[in-house]
Amino acid sequence: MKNTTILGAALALLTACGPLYDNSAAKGFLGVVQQRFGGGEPTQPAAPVLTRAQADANPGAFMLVTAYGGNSVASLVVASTNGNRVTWLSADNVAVTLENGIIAATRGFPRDLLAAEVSGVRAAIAAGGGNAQRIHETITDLDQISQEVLQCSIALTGSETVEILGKSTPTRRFDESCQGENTAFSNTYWVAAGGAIIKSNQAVSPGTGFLVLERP
Amino acid sequence: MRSGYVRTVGYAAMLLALGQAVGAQDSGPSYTIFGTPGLLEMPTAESANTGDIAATLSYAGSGGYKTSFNYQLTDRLSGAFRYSTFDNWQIVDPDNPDAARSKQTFDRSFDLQYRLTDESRYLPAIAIGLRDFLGTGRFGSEYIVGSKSVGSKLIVTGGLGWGRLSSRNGFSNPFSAIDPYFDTRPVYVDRVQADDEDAGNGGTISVNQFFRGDAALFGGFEYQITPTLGIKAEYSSNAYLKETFTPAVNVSSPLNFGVTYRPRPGIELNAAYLNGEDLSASATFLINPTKRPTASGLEPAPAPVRVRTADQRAAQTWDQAKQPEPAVRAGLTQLLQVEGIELVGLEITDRTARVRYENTRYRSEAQAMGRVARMMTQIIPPSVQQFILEPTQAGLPLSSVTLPRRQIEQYENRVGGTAAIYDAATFGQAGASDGLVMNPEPESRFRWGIGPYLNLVIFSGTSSLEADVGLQVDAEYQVSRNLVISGRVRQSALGAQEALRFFDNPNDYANVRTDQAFFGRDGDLNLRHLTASYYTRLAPEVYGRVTAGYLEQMYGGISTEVLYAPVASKWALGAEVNYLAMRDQDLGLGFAQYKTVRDPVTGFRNRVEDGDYTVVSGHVSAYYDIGKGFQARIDAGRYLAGDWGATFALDREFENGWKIGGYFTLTDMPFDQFGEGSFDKGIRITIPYDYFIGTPSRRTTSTTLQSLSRDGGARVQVQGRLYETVRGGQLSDLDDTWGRFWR
Repeated sequence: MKNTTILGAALALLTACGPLYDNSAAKGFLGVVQQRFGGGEPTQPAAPVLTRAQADANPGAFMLVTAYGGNSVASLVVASTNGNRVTWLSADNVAVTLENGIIAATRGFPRDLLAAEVSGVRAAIAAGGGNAQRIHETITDLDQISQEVLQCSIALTGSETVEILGKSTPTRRFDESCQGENTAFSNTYWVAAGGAIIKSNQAVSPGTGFLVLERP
Repeated sequence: MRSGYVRTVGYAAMLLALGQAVGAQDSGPSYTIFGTPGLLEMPTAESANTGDIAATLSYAGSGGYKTSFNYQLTDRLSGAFRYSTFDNWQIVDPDNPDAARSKQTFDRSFDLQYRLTDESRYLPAIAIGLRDFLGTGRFGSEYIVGSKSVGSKLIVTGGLGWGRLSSRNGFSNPFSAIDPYFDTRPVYVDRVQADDEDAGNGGTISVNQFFRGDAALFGGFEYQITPTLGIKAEYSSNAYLKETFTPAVNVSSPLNFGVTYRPRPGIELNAAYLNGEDLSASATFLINPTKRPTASGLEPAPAPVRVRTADQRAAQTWDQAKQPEPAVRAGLTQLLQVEGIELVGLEITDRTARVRYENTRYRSEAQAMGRVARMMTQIIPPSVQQFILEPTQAGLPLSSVTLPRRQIEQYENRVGGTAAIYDAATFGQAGASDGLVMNPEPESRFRWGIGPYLNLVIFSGTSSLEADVGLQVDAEYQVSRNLVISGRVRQSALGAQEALRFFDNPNDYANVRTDQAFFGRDGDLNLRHLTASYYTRLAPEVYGRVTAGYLEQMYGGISTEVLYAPVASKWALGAEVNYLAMRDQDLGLGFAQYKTVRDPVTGFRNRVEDGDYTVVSGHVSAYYDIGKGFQARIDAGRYLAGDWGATFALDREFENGWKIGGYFTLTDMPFDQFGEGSFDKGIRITIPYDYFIGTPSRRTTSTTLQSLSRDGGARVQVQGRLYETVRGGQLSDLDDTWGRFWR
């Protein structure tokens, strides 16, 4: 009996393979169990790096996105433009859609911002501060649309020099404080002389957290 | 969440949040050793969070093992199902109770609890409950209980119990004031005890006992010392009296004490000292279908919509010189492949493009639709104003959804865009194949998988849980879109094993399911199934299936089915006829029926081949989407043993793919022929893979908890029945997951 038990344990450790067993529940379950009980350290893929030379060779073509509190960095390029919204895409298929520099949607994150109404925020920044209303939509755990209305106040909080890939730019810093029924967060925007947001730290959703966006 | 966003570290950390997701806001009530919210053995009026499923494993010295599943169906109503293994008193002679011996027994039981009122400032919450109301009633009792919190850490409970919960210091029933009906509780007479085949097979609702006979008081408290650590104490009104077939639990005190430790939300560990005699340990694990550990899912971003310029939009005709049909079709085929979607056929005119496709990746056909629509914007000629999407499964066109292209361009990433594109869409039955330029049938596709399996047989009779592990190989050969050959073989790592010892089942019918105990136990290679399945559309909303071969572990033959499922309807009608033969128990290629012959000398049970067993079974089925997530189904017809009857099923279906339901089958097989349990009934759970793994998958895993698998009301298990195959493309299902369209 002992031998068979050991054999059984060995079998249980054996990973399923073959095209039919891709995404097998066994793998998923094992992963969940390991994370839940084993407390294993999550491993991160090596961060894709964008160099200053690459950025200078293609001015405006890149956006750096830092997610998960700095644990994941990706370089995005423009994939499409729809009206005043630009969708940026990374090589590993993470997408961020911006409306004049403000995040209007994300894809490829665990809790995506499905859609957002953010036009008032940009107007408030342009006016040097003010109040704005945001509407955020996410997908619930039951695949329904959840909508939240947030009241935000935007204020100029000072002048800061921002360094992106070794290049320093003087900016005006704006802080946005938002309060909704279930969530509250604060975003920060660094706005260059021409009015472009060259760096920002923006909330996406509970579950995805904040994204740092940089335009080298 | 009010304090701000929870920051997570990568996907792995998302999964780590699984526990936290369940009840981070409120740890909810703790659980009894019966696996229901409450104290130690006594219930409280507390309810779990709606949707919580709690699996509890418990052990107590003389109380034995219990495996329980508690499900909080609604805010107020919960139900539990339990397997127990414990020692039972055998026939007790009232004149000489000490002579009774105990013997190990296995028991299933069902509970229900309904919270009548909520706690208010001065009044407690009050709940009413039934414990073990459907089995043989080993714990059969009813109660009314009130619980009141005092401060934020203490909950005090007091209640009135009947049945087993009135066996200590019982007094005359207060309900007797209403009607003398409540004076005495009729005794449950067991079949064995009465030596009468017609009596007490269990499994029927013992309504005539409810709230009758003496009542008794119970009570206790729970005190939460820290967020993770709590203590409980209770006065139990169950004295575990020594009566025929009652649990042989040692009792010298009415007081029970316990410690509860919840290291993280979703996990609860208990230690207790029960009845002044027993040490007890239990563990409870919570999962909630409405709280997906993988949030909205982990799929890659879709290709964004390609918006036409004003000039392009003005085009009236399809410039075939610039965009010839074969090039467009080849391009779209490649684009859809990226999404795991196979292009079946395409029809392009100046103003419309109709695409027929098969989604192999996304659980939600609505999400696949969103992906197809966006890919179409990339390549379909700009003059085309309308996209007509026709999803298929198993080669069957399921429906047709017409989307205006301009709205796809407008509503991408827009607040309200999900509802707006739904309103702009037109839903109807799939069109004819005429007009479509069909992509060539994919080359015959062979796919395989090899991996370990773990098969748990709960409650076989020799033990409460038996496991079989080994290696299994799956193979699938897709001959055409409509014809698939698939098979599975297994090799156990445990070698030859003794037959499972189900309860003996002497009845006049063939042992169409109870013989399962002897199947695949010889340690050789097992052919689990090997079938060819052909699907066809007979009329726009009428589908047909023929499956032939080794259909399942115990039966081979041919299964035919017809389904009428109107796209926009909440109901569907079907019929199935099967010609079946029982397979040889060695799970090779042969067919045979065996009988068990006891060797007169050794007493060993030998299996002797005894001809063949063939049967024609079949059903007419009605499916109905009641709404609010409830799905009903009735099947009426002939079952495996040749018995006639009907199966009634009700499932709570969640939009994210979880299903939790129950069913029962009543046939003309008499209860005493059916044996213990009286009739077939069970609880079933289906969990979609993507709930756990996050990445999109169409696969699910299902489990049925049957009270007992017997010969009455048994049906053949055929893979790929029509209703589950086609319903993903029906309006009702599209509606459920439409939130994923833009994902």
